[in-house]
Amino acid sequence: MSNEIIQKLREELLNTSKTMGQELFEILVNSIVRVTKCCMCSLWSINDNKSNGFKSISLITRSFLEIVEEQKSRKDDLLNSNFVQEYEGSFIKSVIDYTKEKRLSYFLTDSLNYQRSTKYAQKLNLKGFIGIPIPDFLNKKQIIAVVRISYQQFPNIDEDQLEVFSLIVRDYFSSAIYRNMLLKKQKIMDMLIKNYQDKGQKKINDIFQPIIDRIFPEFCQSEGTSIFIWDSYNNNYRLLVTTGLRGIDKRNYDDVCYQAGIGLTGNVAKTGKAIIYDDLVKLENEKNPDYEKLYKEDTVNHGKTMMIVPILRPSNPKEIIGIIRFVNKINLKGQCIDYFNSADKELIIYASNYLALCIDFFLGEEERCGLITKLSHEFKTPANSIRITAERIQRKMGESIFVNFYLNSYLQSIVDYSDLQIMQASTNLYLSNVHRNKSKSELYNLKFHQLSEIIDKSVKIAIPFARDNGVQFDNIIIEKIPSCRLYIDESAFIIIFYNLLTNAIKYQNPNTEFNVRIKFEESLRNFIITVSDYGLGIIENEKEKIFLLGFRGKNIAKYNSDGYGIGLHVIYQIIKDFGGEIRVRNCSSPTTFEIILPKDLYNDYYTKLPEWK
Amino acid sequence: MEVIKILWIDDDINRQALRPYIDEFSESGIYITKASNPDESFIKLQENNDFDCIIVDISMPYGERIKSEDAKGGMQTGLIVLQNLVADNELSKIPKVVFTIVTNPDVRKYCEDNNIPYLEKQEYYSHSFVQKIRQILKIVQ
Repeated sequence: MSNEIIQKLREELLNTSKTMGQELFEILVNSIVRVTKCCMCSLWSINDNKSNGFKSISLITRSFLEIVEEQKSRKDDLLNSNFVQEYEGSFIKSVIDYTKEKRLSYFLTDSLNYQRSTKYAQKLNLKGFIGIPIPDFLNKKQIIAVVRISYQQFPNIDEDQLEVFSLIVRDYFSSAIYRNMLLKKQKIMDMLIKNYQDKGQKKINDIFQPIIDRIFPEFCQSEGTSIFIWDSYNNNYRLLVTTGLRGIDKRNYDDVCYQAGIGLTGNVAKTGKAIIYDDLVKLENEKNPDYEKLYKEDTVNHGKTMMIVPILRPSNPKEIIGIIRFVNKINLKGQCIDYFNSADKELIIYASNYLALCIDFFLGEEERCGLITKLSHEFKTPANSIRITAERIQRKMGESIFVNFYLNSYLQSIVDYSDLQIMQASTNLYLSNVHRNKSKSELYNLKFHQLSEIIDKSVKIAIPFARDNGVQFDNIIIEKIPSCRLYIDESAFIIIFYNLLTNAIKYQNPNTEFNVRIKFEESLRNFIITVSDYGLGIIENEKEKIFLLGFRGKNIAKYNSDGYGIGLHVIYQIIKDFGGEIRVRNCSSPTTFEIILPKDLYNDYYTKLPEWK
Repeated sequence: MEVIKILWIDDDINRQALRPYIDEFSESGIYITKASNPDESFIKLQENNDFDCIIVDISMPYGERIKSEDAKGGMQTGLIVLQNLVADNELSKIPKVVFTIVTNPDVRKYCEDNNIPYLEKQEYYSHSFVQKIRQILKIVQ
């Protein structure tokens, strides 16, 4: 290996700088074959995943010297096998172990003992082998690939020159693999954006189907791919798009879903960590409870390898809004089942960021539409009631029996439903103002008010609602509230107590007597107001979520379809704005909400703080 | 004259919101059996299924017998109720009417396919709704 060869190699390698992907690696190994006149050069990736204690290597590409073309049949034999191998017992492992031990950049040997199978080496009459480990560009300690160069005659090479040669190969391949990843990231993102532009704002399935049919296979070819998306209606991950599911008719795809924590896919949805499985057959044979029993992609071969990547909500990465699943990676060179590796994982996680934005937008739109539907339902019910009641009065006014027996209750109904609608509008309007980012001083109309008067007014407004729900109002007990003059917004605080009271009415337990108790306590710095009821209660792990906009407790919708997860969110915001806190002190029997208000509200000093400006 | 009996399943059935309709039915000699959720309707139908018509709301609490996923958290409870009624040999013969405040294309499609009238509350005053029910049941006044 002369200086001339080294110089030529450098020139050849530099010429590859504009290519990427499989083509780049083919050009690189071809260059080595041409320059060194070796018989064969191959590049192997090391699949660092060790699920089930199994580590593997995959052939990225392999090139032969033209002279070997004569031995075409033998070469064809080689081309059709050994593309994916076990790491243990391979020449690649020997290269890594030897170079690490000797602190060398290459491994040179004439022995066939390091080969897993000597059959092909003998067929091609190979008598000398050089192995060069390729480290990760950003983490030099981690070997991610090996270049193997095979000769038909043992190469007579000067050790120093071999050292220089292997260092050039090492550094160039290391940077090429890194550069290739950057280019792949750029290309996949360009393709995802173009796909989105082409599809405009059409249905989400129309945007995602080309991603699994056309875009992903260009970067990570597999026998089956599916994407699942968070379904807040049903608290599960429903199938969004798939290349096909075994034994399931397309018409039934709407029913395909995963619960978080169930199966391999559900586990990723629970943990939020991307996972590679190298031996699905073993998991299946062991009857592992985590094995994917529910749904399997329609693949030519039996499911062997799998990669599952979560899609994390951009604004809150703890929230998993989707899952991407690949089954049976295909080796590009050999068209056989391959193992997913950390490079595949890195690229798909990168692409998942873009998918996350699309899904986030879609879910946001879905939530917006859901909220509008719910709000219009909430408005239409009292409006329709007012309308039909008024029309009936108009039609029946002449009948004395109607005037005597019905008129008063009909008019009361109109007043009640009008009040209800006004209160709902106030709550919703508050919500829209908060989301417009108005300052607190603009949002609130501050004056001194007696807390007891505000609570009394709230109860009065809630009376029609209670009457309509068949609730005995004597059962709302307000314990003595001492004189407490606060500098607050009256209507905002009425919203707080009105919503807590109407929630207690809405979610009363049909099996227990309706009972609400409002209690007042005082500490050194705070007022503590508790509102307790014996209603349906709150599920323990939902006691913080219930203050989120649009959240409805799982046990609630079963017995009551009123309420849309707006009231408690608004209460939470108002109390927070006034420096207070609301929390669930007790989940059931009684369900107790605790409101803590700072004594700073005694005077207007707090409004001089910058956050009120 | 035989009394017309209707089972009306609606979570607002005991509230003032539907009172004008109930009063109108009563004046027309039509007897309404009230069920404020699917569980209650099941019990009422167990006791007696001799109804001339069943009126069903769509957005309702789903109760113990219907799964949240199927009812889409309560937004489509009425659809599941209808499907159960249609699937039942005895009850499938009773005329069914959807009467709802929510416009739901999925339910509307199901109703069209199964020849079930889909009526929206805002389109009917109390007397026009009673007339419509009479018309559906082919009752001559």
